[in-house]
Amino acid sequence: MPETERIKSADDDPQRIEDLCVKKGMRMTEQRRVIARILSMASDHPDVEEVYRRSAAIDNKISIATVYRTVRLFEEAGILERHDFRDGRSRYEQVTEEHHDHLINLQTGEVIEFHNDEIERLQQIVARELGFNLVDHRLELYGIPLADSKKAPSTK
Amino acid sequence: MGLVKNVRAGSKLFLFVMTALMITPVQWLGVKLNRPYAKNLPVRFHRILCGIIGIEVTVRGTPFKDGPCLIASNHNSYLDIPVLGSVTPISFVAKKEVAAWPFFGTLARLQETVFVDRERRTKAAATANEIHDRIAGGDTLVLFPEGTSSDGNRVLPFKSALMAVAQMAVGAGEDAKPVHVQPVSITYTKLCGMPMGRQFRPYFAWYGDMDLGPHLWEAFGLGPFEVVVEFHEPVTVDTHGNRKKLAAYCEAQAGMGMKRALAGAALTTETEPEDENPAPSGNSDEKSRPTIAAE
Repeated sequence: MPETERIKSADDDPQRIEDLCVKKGMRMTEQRRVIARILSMASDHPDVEEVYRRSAAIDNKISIATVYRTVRLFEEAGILERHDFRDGRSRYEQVTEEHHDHLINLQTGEVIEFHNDEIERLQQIVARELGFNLVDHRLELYGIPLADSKKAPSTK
Repeated sequence: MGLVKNVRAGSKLFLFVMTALMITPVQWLGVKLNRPYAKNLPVRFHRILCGIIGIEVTVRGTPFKDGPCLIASNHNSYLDIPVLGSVTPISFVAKKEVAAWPFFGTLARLQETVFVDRERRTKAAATANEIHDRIAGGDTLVLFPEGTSSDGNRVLPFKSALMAVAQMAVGAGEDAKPVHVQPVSITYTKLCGMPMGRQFRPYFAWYGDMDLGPHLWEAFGLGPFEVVVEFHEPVTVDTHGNRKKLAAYCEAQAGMGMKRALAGAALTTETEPEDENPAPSGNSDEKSRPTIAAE
């Protein structure tokens, strides 16, 4: 039985981010609400341009500069987390209580969330062996789907 | 002479601290609550600061406002910060050690400085992303690509690593806006109305590993300065092909700007006594300045 659990982060609540913002005392303009809703509904770690595309589809007065500023605002408020999956742009997802790591499909760019108990345990052990209490970590795996890996050149 | 200098330095420092104490809480609130005034208040603060220290800034050219913009400027001194900061709303890119400095680290953070870890080359991409996102959001950021400040008499080679930002357009498709890089030259031209010679530069210039404290005191103790800030023609990476050439272009422009300003300062002082209507020091010297052969 596989120890790795693939996580489907289906967040059914389109209001989640908006509500968090209001709770934090943020001034919510109409444009910010649209962007917040897009981000709440996203399950695929969009980059800013993707968020912009989806937001502009709802309100075409939203400029990309506004999206950049808003996303940065949410990140600084601790509502969004920024990832750098090495494809040249920042990608965002909501901060969740349940921790998960990421596997990036180098061919398609798809980002898969997973959780593996053994890795989590190993991290704790390594930290302890070095004399530390593990507070935080970030893990990113980069892979090519098995069926194709024989054709692709080896990556470091 | 020592007493006058120390009294001058002391009173300027006192005024600086008082101004900072009054403005920083307002700025802190503005940044925290994400208010638009937080972008402009630093300009006013720097203008006041220049007034206190006795720096007269002459601006040539115009800051680029038609899209995402990265300014690449030469660096002589920590005084470059209030000088440039007094002209237009900007944020700086600084080494991360600055964030930890007492008092100045706080000021840097309040102006939303982007901090760079210069030792970790692996983080360069993440920093470039951060700079890109800030510029995409509408802020103009300032890079000092020499990597350190020089002695003020020349421009060091511009490093191109962070200029990789120029290669990342904002948006995609037809709406994509290229990042414009605008070279800027900052030249300290006169001290107490006389052209700044090599012997005076060490007082305000800050290069190598000098300590901030004693230099602040020295600079504050000096008389009024004149500085010329020239905004050169902004370009995109497409104009030059790659970031190294882009860096070289910016370096050349900054160098030329510096030579022009230094030559201009030297010439105006020589021609003044011969003028029938002697021009007051500052902007109006422009008209009597002979043209300098283009390079």
